[in-house]
Amino acid sequence: MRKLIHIAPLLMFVVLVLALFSFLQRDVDQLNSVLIDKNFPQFSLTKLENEDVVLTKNDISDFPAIVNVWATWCITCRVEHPFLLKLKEKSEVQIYGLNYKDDRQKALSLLAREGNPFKFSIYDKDGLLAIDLGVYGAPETFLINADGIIKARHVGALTPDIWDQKFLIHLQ
Amino acid sequence: MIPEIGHLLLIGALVLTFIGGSLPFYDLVLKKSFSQNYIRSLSILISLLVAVSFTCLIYSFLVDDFSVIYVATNSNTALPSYYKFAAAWGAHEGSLVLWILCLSLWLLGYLFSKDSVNDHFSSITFAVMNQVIFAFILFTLFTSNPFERLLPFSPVQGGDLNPSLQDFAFTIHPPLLYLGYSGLALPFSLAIAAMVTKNIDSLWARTARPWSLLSCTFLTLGIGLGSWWAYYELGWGGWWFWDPVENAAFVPWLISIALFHSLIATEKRGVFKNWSLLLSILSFAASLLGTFLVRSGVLTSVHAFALDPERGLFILWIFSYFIFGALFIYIFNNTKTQVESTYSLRSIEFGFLLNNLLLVVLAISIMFGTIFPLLYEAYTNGKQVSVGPPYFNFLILPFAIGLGLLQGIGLFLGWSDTKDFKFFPRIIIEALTILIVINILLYFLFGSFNTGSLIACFIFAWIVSGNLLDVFIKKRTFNKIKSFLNFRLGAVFAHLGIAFLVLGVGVVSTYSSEKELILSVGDSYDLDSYVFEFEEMTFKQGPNYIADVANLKIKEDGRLIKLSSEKRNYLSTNQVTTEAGIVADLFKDYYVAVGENIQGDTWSFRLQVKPFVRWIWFGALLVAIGTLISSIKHLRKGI
Amino acid sequence: MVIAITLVISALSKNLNLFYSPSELLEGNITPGNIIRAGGMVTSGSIKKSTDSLEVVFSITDFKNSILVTYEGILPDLFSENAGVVVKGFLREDGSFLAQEVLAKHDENYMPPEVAKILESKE
Repeated sequence: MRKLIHIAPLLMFVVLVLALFSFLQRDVDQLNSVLIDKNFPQFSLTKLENEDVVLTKNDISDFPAIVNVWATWCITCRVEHPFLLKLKEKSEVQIYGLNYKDDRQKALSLLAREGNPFKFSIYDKDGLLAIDLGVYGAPETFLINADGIIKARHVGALTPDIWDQKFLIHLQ
Repeated sequence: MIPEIGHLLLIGALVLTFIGGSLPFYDLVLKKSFSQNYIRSLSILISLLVAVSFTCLIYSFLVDDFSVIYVATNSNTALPSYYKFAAAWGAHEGSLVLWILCLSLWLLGYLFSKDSVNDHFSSITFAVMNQVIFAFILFTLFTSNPFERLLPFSPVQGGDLNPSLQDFAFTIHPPLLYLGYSGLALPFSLAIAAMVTKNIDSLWARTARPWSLLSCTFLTLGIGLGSWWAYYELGWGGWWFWDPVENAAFVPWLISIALFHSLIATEKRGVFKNWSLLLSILSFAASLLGTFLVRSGVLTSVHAFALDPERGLFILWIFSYFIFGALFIYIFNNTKTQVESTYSLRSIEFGFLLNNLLLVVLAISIMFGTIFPLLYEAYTNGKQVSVGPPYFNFLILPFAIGLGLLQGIGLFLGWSDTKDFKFFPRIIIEALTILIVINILLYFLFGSFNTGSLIACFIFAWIVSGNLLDVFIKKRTFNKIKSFLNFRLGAVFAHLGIAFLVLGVGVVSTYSSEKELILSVGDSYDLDSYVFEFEEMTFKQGPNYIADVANLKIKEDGRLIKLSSEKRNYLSTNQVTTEAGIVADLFKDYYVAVGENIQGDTWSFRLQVKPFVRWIWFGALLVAIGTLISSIKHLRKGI
Repeated sequence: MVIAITLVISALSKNLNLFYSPSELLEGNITPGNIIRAGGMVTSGSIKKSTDSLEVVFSITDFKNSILVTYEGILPDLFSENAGVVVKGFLREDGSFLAQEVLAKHDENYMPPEVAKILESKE
């Protein structure tokens, strides 16, 4: 009986930690699962490079592809920028941009200055498509496989490691 | 270059703490105890590395090195230098480095407070502290490296430090809080050392006591400043929100108080040994759990850092390692020998027992309310729920009353039994006298009588009579009072602090008045016989913001008070914040927050009169001073 | 101990505020008058402010359904169109929401987690 009393605190903490673990785990899964295995959502927005061109879902037609949510105010986006440029050179994957809650001029001058990895960017001033995608913030990247199905999502800067671990498996 | 040096130094500290954390094993393997010769120099070296590394980070902020991601996201060129300096710990990554620095300073302080560290006990304490520091450096380097670079294209201009954090109180609030949080690692390490070396005795309790007191000092200051900041910065006039982040600091505070009370009994009478051990572990667990709640972003909160399950997982691993490890050791190494000390229901031991029971149960209930939404969501698969402030307000009341009553009589109780209960009728009479005086005073101040604050006033009166007034009445001679104060100064200060805090809380929650309304320039409004007049609207250009300033006059018994409240727009992030206008005297605060522009010269306002609100922070300050006095006294006594 | 647990449970049962999305509010199985919380995005163009009182009416949406919210008081600084908000209050008989408290915390990188989850879980 006395022994049991001394074990009790440990057991209580084990229960607590297990509960928190399961919560975190669920959270990670949820972040990944929403749009996975679905088609890219419908939208109708202007092109960043030309405000007279209206883009729709059909314009994202070359697969496999990634859609990268970015903005000039987003500091972390600059971190992944060089990697996207490298990806454009090395990989078969098409890169589409989703310019998120940004200023058109600022965005274009950034691309002119630092290089443009995108085939084109969708200009989403009010974050409408971003809402359909369930975007938390920038940067975020969605992977679309050869059949046009969303296969993976990454929140935060895209790095070579994440590319290899999370994205590459869906492309083979 | 500088950020790389900072990064390398942190890695250096990681290596050293790894060596430090495993020192006792080398001793064990080599069957020698040579490690004791090195622990002081090792700990100096670790503190130095971390301190210089932190300086590198500050330097990067001061020179606007936006090639560092952390600097670029939290500072810009327009930010005043002082805030650039403070921005170094304004967000997650940098605050972790500060946290590590605090930990290593605690260790340094401990090692140099002792005459000699040539014993097994010191080296185990050293090793456990090193493991803690190691875990946090690992966490920093792997999930939240503040020195990460942004190359080859670095921005010319950075983001900004969250505008509401650009404030003096908020720049020193985190360091104080972190000192308090991290300080609890020391009693934890001491408890492990006591268990491993089988020295669960009064010497251990005496060693642990001043450090738990000192952690409590810093926690009190940190929480108090945070509350003050929320009061004048958030524009609501509230001073406590039961926000998860506040609770995350409040719970360790409660447990640290329980801990140093329990340690007194362990030191003086050898009782509650296992309980003190458990509390040492529990207080560090609470501090880690608080870190988890704040850093993993799992809870909605005004302060929460961004959602990052990875960080949460990492902290949970750290938590599991230390707390499970400690509790395992506890299962095998707790003292089985029962002390042959008996105490009656009228003894101070029993008083401490009640005090501990109330504090710990309260702490657990608050923690439960804080994480309940998480558990609920996990259990119901996504259904979301929140626990409202009334839950906490309702809970804390009976506990506060119980603890308040104990504080009034605590100093009169004797070990094992109290023979003389003559003090009891005396302090009842004194307390009732004070109570009447206060209520007369309140009546004159506010012209009304409010029964809601009666309990708070009584507890105030009760603690004041039990801790101070009765001493003066009974001891009379100066020398006797002096010797009493010499002996009990810290406790008297801390208990009086709680008394003022309780009085402040009681009065401000019952006598406050508040009105949200629309005023045009020239309008005035009569709030409980204080007349607020909206005089004019002016424009102001700040260093990194522009502001509309509403100027008001308050007429009170012929006196004329001017105050102004600002609506600021921080240009780099386009964030709007409200600066409340506050004018305070001893008994009340006038609090005005400007709302939005309705049309032309017409604006919305929140007008408030908050009596005795300042006494809350004054009380917290007294508690901090009291615990500091006791801590220094016990440190001086030597170990 | 028993007293403490009783206290905790009774306090908890009285002060739990369940969280709903506009769609869930419209399903009609929520008793009007109970204090609850709801969240969504403020529909653009829906904010109507009175000029002679602090009453404000706006609608919040999860992009499937939206619901009208009435609030009297000063709105937080971060409240704006297309921002995520959490409102605390109760459902009225006519199906609109009377808010006692409006919480907005939104910058480009962050919105209240509850709101983010609602927007995300929409198909």
